[in-house]
Amino acid sequence: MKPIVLFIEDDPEQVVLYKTKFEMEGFKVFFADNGTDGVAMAKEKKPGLIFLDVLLPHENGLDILKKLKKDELARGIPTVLFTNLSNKNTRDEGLRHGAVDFFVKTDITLKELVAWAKKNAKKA
Amino acid sequence: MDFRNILLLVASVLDFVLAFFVFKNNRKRELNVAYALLATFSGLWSLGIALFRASTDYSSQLFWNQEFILAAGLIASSFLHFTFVFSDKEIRLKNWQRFLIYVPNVLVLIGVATAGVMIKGIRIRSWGNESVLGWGYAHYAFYFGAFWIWGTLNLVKKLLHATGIFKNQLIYILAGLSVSIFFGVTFNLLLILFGDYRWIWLGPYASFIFLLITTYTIVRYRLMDIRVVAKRFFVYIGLAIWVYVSFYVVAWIMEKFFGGLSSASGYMAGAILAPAFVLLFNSTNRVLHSVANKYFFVSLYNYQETIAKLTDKLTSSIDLGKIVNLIVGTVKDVMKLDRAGILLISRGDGAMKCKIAKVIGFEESDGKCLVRDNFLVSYLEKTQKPLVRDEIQMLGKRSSGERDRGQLAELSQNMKKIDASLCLPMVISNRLVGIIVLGDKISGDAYTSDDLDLLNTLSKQASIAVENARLYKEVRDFNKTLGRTVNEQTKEIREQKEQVEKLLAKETKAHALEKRANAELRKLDESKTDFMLITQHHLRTPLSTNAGIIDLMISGAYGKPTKKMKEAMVKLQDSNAKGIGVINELLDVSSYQIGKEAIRLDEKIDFSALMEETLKDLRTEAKKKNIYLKYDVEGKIPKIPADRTKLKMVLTNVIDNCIKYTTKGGVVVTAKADKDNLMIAVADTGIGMSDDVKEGLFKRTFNRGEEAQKMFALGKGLGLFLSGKIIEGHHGKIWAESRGVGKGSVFYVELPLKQEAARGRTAAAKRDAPESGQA
Repeated sequence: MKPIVLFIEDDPEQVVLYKTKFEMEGFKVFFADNGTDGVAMAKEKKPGLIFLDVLLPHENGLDILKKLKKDELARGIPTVLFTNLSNKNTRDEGLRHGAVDFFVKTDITLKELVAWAKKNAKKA
Repeated sequence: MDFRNILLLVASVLDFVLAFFVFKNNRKRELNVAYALLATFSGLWSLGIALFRASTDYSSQLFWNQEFILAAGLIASSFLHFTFVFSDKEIRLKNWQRFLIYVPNVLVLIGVATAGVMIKGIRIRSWGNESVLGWGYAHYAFYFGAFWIWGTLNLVKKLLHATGIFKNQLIYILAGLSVSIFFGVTFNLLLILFGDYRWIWLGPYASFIFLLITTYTIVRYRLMDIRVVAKRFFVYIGLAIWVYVSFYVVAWIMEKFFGGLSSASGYMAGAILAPAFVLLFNSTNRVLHSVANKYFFVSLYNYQETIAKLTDKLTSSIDLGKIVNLIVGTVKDVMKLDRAGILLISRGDGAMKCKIAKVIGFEESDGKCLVRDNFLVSYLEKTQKPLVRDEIQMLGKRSSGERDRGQLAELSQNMKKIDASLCLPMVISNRLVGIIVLGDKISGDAYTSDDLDLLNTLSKQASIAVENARLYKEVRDFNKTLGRTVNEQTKEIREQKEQVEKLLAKETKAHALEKRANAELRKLDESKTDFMLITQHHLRTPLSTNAGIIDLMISGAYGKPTKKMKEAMVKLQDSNAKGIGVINELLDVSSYQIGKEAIRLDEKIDFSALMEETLKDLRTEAKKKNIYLKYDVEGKIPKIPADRTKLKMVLTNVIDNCIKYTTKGGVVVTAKADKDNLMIAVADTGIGMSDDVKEGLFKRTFNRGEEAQKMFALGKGLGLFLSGKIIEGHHGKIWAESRGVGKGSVFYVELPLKQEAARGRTAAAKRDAPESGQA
């Protein structure tokens, strides 16, 4: 069975990018562009990894993270904060609330991202 | 019994009563005794004459004749006695004197008892009895006439020297006496001598007149101070008469209407009448008392009322001025004095000061002369009794010292000079607080003992009132002074307080301003943060997208690329990466400037390890350019306190900079540690720097030096500024040197081994070189 990843990301270009790359690498990719859908999808599709953007149009990624971790079904899924915000606070907060890691998009190549995902995604 | 006899009897009874009261009043005083004897003998005399006239048989007639002759003799003696002791002073006769006065009566007794000496016989005439006198009677007449004259002369003599109340009393007594004497001597002595017995009954009327005058004197001038007793007597007599009358009235009513006292209806009526009688008795009693008060004590009665009112007013006021006016005014008016005044005594610093508080009728200077020598003050304070001028002489006689007497005499003169007749002390707890000085009564009467009692009471009240007022004034003045003093003393404190309050207000304002500034800064901060976030996101996103797409393209997601395309794509990747790098640096600087990224100096790092790490990253680039990159360590390098990440940034920056501007040769990094610092030098064989480039190297402007600008479109000018700031944060120094253009450059970094000492150095450096990237 293919490993499943969930991207909670609002930028459509980015979405295309990641979808293309991850599917190339043999993942099943789902995405949601807001928190509510994201949480619902997490529960429904049960991904092995969630990439969570922090700057969403009407929501804060940290809040979504909190919601995910509150949810019984979703909380076990490793969630990574994946963003362009590089400030320490966000990173610390994220890690405090249960994110397993924190990546700045500009600082990590797609290749590295895929490699990390392969290593850390929860097997279904 | 004819009416003359009745009158004589009444006169005698009244004489006895008078004698009784006078004697009862003060039996120790010889004056009272003498007067009582005089009255008694007068009574006996009247009685004798009455009974002589009334007797029918010879033996009674003889007896009473003998009796009244004897009585008359005794009258003469007692009169003489009286005149000797009558005085405002206390006079006591010696026993031999008394003996001499009375001893002639023994002879009279003998003469009377012996038949034929005084009385030869008794004849009965149509108008009454008549006694025939013997040879002894002329001697008797002569002797007792002489006594009468002597006595009168005594009184006249006294009158000449008398003053005040004593004088008044004397005048009245002499007046009464003259009348009596006239009557008595004429009708009972002279006429008898010449054989006319018809008028002997008139003599006792003389005594009666004398009696009346004496009574009047008693009432008016308090002769022998028996007013109270006389008043009581009056009331008793009045009541007795009233009861007597009531009894007969009741008895008559009983007889007339109830058939007698012992009948049944009589008893019942009696039962009703009895309570009525008691009620009536009470009211009668009161009436009699008030009448007696009015007539016996008329002036006293008024005084009491007025002075009671005065006392009320005094105790309800605390205004000193009012009190003093009230006292002086009231006393003067009520007692009808010609002048009155008050002196107040204040004690300050041990000295006693007398101040005229109020005078009416006196001159202001009068009071001063009175207290000039302080004798009066100390005397009054000692005795605490009113001082009557008339009595000073007597006091003087009684007092011990020669000096006292002299001073008293002088005082008496002073008082006479200013017409002051009475000095009342006002005493509070044995301290003299003032003197009330009174003149004479307008009527000329003397001050009676009741007057003095009243004035005493008044002065006590006045003292209390005055003292209260004085204390009140003192407290009020003290309060004012205290208030003023407190105000003065606290003026400084108050001023300081005001200042402090102003400062506090300013501070509060400043604080408020600060708070607002802080709030605004925080908002600014937040907006900066927001800006930061948004900037980060918006700047980075396209670049990351680019990177991603390029990656995909290179990995053939969009079809297999040609070699040339791959090359181009790699260049694209590099360029994109550079953009990301610049943005990163920009963001770092901004956030550093905002202060979000503080330099952490709590850890000590292994410098060499850091160096190796840094160089590892840079060797690739150096290799590409075919220049060497060496690292030399001199001696041992201890662990230094530094922010590893930031320091790495700096080293990378500097070395990278050097590599960038070197085309041939290489870069040599040296590190050496001494006692205080770690010195790092990065030397290159590159393009070098001119002096002005050197100046502006670590300044904020993106000054990459002209030469550098020539070589590279993109530069790392920003990096040097940031490096400068980071090293500054480490309390270290960073600077560059160059021997000139084309002659290479050396960058020096000096880091302190111990942070404490270094902080001071940095502060000093900041003071000296304000805005310089060069530490």
